[in-house]
Amino acid sequence: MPTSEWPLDDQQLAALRAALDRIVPADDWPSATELGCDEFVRRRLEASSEVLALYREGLDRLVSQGFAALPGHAQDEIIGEIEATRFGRELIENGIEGYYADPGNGGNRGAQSWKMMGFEVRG
Amino acid sequence: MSRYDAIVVGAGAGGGVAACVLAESGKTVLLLEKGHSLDFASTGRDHLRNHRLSCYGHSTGPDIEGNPRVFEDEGGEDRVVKPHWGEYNNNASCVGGGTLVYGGQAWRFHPLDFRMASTYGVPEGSSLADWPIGYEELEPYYERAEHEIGVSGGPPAPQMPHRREYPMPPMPATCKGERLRQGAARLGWSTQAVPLLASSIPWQGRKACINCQHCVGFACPVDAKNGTQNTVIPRALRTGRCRLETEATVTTLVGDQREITGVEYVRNGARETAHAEVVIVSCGAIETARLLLRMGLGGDEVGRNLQGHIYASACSLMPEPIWDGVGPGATVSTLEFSHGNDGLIGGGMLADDFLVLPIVFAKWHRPPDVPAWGPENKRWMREAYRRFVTCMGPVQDVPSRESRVTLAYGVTDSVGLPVARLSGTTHPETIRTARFLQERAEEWLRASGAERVWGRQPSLGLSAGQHQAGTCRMGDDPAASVVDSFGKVHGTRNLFVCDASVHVTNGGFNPVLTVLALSYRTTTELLRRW
Ligand SMILES: Cc1cc2nc3c(=O)[nH]c(=O)nc-3n(C[C@H](O)[C@H](O)[C@H](O)COP(=O)(O)OP(=O)(O)OC[C@H]3O[C@@H](n4cnc5c(N)ncnc54)[C@H](O)[C@@H]3O)c2cc1C
Repeated sequence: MPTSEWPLDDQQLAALRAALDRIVPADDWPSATELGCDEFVRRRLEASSEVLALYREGLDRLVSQGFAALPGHAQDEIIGEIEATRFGRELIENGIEGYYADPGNGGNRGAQSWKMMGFEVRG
Repeated sequence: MSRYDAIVVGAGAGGGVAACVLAESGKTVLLLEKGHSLDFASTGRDHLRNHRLSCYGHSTGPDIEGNPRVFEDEGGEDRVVKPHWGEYNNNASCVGGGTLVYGGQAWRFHPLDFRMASTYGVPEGSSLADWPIGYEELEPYYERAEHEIGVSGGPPAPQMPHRREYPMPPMPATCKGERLRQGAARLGWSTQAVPLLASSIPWQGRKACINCQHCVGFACPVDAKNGTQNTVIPRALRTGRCRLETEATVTTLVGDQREITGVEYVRNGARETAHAEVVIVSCGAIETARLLLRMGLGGDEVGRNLQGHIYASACSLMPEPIWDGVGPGATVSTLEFSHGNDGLIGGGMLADDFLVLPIVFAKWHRPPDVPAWGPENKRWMREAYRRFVTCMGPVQDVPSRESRVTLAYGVTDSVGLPVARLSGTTHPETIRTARFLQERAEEWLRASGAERVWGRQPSLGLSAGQHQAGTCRMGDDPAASVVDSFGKVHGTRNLFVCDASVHVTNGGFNPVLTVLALSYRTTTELLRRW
């Protein structure tokens, strides 16, 4: 997805992707952005100007903390600090939704999270 | 201008049955439905936009824009809410209403559910009352609903005497159901296959259930879920005497206080009028109350006693994977705690749940010590999902007059009419009973071998939602009820209510079979007197 189609600037986008990959980090199974959770969020931003404003403001704060370049444990600390804020809740929920909802929503590419969990769609 | 024998407003559970009974008896019927005619192809399987989880919308109505409600929150503040928000207390809005997407648990109410006040007394601040009819009077119509709409299950629960078996055998047993059956046996509790309005074998020319992993909240991919949209409504249409108009929102009941002569409705932006001998309102408990309130019909009780079900539930982790993916998933229940619980009013049925979607598992069933994100959350999702079992049940609501629908002056829908305002809570006694049932659910899971059990304490709040009922309660006393025991609005000659609004109390069971049965009864009697 080229950056130009995003309603975020490069720095905001880098912070978003870094944060999503702490919300669902890689282990034996893919991370959030590896399954398209950033695309999931992009669709959310496209659908609602209110959500877009919330994200821009929240991501700007992360950018000002140099979020994308921080080591993982420091990123986790920051997410922990914003967990109870409106932006933090939205970000975490969207990360989880992108990862575990149906692929039609832009995330969970190849239904890989379902394979990870053992949710098999047979009919 | 068009003229019919009867106009039915709302093509959901109650309205669908009413249209069919009247049309098949030779009456001409206009069936008006605000929503669209939908099916699996047009609604799909969006895990975030369905009637089980509607984070960003839903696919089976009402339309998100132009249909607000007002909800009075705990602090007494009015908030304008959208159809997919919890506070809206939504049900589906489409041909079939809730029956297009329901899980279809097909419970009769328990005989004592009709006699709550005489069984338990009336707690202070509650409007608990007996029904003007008993189980025996509804029994033949329960049977009709089971056989005409189509229920799989059996043997029927002995607590609710049946003259006939269900028309279809129960859905296949599942690993989790078997485990819970064993757990109940250890506790000395009897169990019961969950009766479902879905077909375990081919039924009425349609396929049998394919036991898929999506059911509740979605339309069925093989049309094996039996609702009014694929049974009684098509039957009504086949008579040639019933006309169904969709996207037709009824705005006005025409006539005077005693005699309703027809309705006005809006369709594709145009105002239409139709006239009839009899008008039946079946818009669901919130919208029916709103329409009667707007018309000033039905007296002071309209909109009061709004009730639904607070759910008691518990979650657990079994020592090994138990998920077999066999849907619909609600398979085993116990009626041990429906009544006769020491010091408590009423009770409720407990059962396992429909198959839980991954995102529902993530959002609703995480134990308090598992973080909401990060590596531990992901490990939990991976390791717990196939070992997870939940039990739950609808707790008999102890109704309150203060839990009610009124009109929200100043907030209007797309047609410009004041919307419904919801306020109040269920009676605190409901919560006492719910806590007891939650403990029983936890006990059941432990006895079934769970290595870990957790739950969420039920708390006091407005109870309506998908099981909304009670806003036009039936009774013999016009001062204390809205309709008589045959669904006719007191004081009117020809206005009837055929939906969950008329429930005096809402049972300790899912309500739809009672909605269907009452609609058969009301319309049968209406024809007898015509
Ligand atoms: C996801 C889900 C799962 C459920 N599972 C179960 C279950 O397992 N067991 C069970 O017993 N129950 C279940 N229910 C509840 C069940 O569907 C309801 O109890 C039942 O549909 C209520 O019937 P009703 O006739 O009162 O109203 P509805 O079925 O809601 O029908 C009302 C209809 O009226 C229409 N309408 C409203 N206003 C107007 C107007 N002004 N003009 C024209 N039309 C109008 C609406 O669009 C709607 O289609 C479930 C519901 C949902 C949504």
